[in-house]
Amino acid sequence: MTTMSAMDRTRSQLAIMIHIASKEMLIQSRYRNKFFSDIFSHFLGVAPILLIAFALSGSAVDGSSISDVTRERTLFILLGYTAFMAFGFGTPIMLYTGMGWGIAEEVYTGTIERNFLAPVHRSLVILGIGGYYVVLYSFHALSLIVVAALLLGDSMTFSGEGLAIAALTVLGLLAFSIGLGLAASGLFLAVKDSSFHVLVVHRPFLLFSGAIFILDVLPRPLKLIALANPVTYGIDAFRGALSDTDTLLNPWIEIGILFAGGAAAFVLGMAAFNYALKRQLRTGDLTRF
Amino acid sequence: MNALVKILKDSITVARFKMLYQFRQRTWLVTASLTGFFMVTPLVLLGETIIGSKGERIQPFFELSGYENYAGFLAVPLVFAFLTNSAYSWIGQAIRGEQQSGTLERTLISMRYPSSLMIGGAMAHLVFLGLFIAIGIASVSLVVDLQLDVNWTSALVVGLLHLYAVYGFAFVLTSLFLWIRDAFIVQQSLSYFIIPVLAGAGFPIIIFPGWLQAVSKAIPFFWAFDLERQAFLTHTPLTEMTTGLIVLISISTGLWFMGFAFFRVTMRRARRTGTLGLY
Repeated sequence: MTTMSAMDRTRSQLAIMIHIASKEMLIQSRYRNKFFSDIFSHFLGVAPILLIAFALSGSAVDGSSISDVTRERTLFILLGYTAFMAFGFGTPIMLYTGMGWGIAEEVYTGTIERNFLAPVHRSLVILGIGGYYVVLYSFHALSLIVVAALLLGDSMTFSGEGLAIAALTVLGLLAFSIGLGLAASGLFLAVKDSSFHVLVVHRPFLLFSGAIFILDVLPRPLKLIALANPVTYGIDAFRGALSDTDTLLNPWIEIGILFAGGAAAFVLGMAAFNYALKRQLRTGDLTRF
Repeated sequence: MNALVKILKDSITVARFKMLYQFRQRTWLVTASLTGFFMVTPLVLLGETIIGSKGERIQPFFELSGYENYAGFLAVPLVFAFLTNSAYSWIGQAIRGEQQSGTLERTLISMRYPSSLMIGGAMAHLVFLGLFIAIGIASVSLVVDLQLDVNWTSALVVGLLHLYAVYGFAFVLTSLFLWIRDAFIVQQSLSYFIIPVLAGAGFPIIIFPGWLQAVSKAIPFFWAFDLERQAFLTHTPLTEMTTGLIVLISISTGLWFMGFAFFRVTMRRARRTGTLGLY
């Protein structure tokens, strides 16, 4: 009897994840309103933020009459929001459809235990679905950079090193997002309330990362929380890479912090999910919704 | 009269069970209580980033809006906008949920008037909502000075009228949810983005071109947000809000009529075609 080498196993697992990602796209495309919203919702998300920034600058809807200071700050906000989108939490519904809420749906419809019989590890299914969203969020991040370039391009800087840093931060933020998605799935299994992980996972990150405001406006205790958050550094590095904004630390150190945080989130997320799942399979709580 | 009493009885029964159910969802209570804080505070801090922490760049905004208190200008309507949004999911999505699980037809059989399902949902929702709005405004005040100058009578009347508009719109959406398959995302896009943006929840609509301002003024929430700013920030009495109040009541009443009319049509269609219990 032959056994699979580690290489073959990795290749097979990758193939499964790609297969699941393409199936997820097929499923999503059947819900036309949602699919349309998935593709364009980031423009809807950024619209109120830009309109508030323009109005506070005393400008009309096209942002034509904003001053230099507010122009610089608007770019700061727009790039921060773009990085936050890459983090995958700008549009939480999509992420949770695949991660936490995906499991909720299976619990509701009573198919979850059946699906565990499939000869594929559950984490691969979730990572495969996550893969679809990685592609989607990459599109969001890229298209928002294009919007920033169209609106405020003359205040942006595009250098080889800057683009490399921006690409790395997007990758780090996405990795962090997937790790937290796994933790969110575990959390959902434990509390069985889909709204709870929106509060625990998504919303604090918008506030405690300075994505759409400068950190100095936060009261000191909240600022300390923000400074302990690796996502803050990811967003800061991304912003600094594409504009002349000063960063909190050296951008490469910021990327290091982000990746370390992302790895920790991934390991802890996976552990939390596996723990919750095993425990509930043992007690039978999984299907007693 | 008899029909009204029956609707009321059914609605109270629905509201009781709905409240009982929600009280069991403790994590939901925590989430909803903190929603205002986590959703609105970043936007107010965005305001501070643009205006400056000492208000050094307030003049252009003042010229545009007539308000110097940009924090209150942003926070008050945004708290109302984000928290009242839960009415749409509470009422509309509950019905869709029953449709998906196949229990809607059964539930409706036990009622004399199907609209009691929505009215009861709205009554239960109302119990929580006042609490969430109060917590929302109070918690944002912990981080940012909102400089509130509240006329409590105006605030109460305007708040209730805002809810009148919200429930009217929720009824319209509920009817649409009976035939829109992926209703959740339609509701989210409308209630979190399209309506607050078009109604100027976070900015004066004067920044829009003329034709878009006309669209904004046809949305009841534009009037509600404007009146809320007056009631909470400038201590305006009701007597000075007459025009806004009349327009808000008129459009909202229109929404209620539209909601009931749509509901009758979509419900009959769903019963006839069998989609009520067959998602």
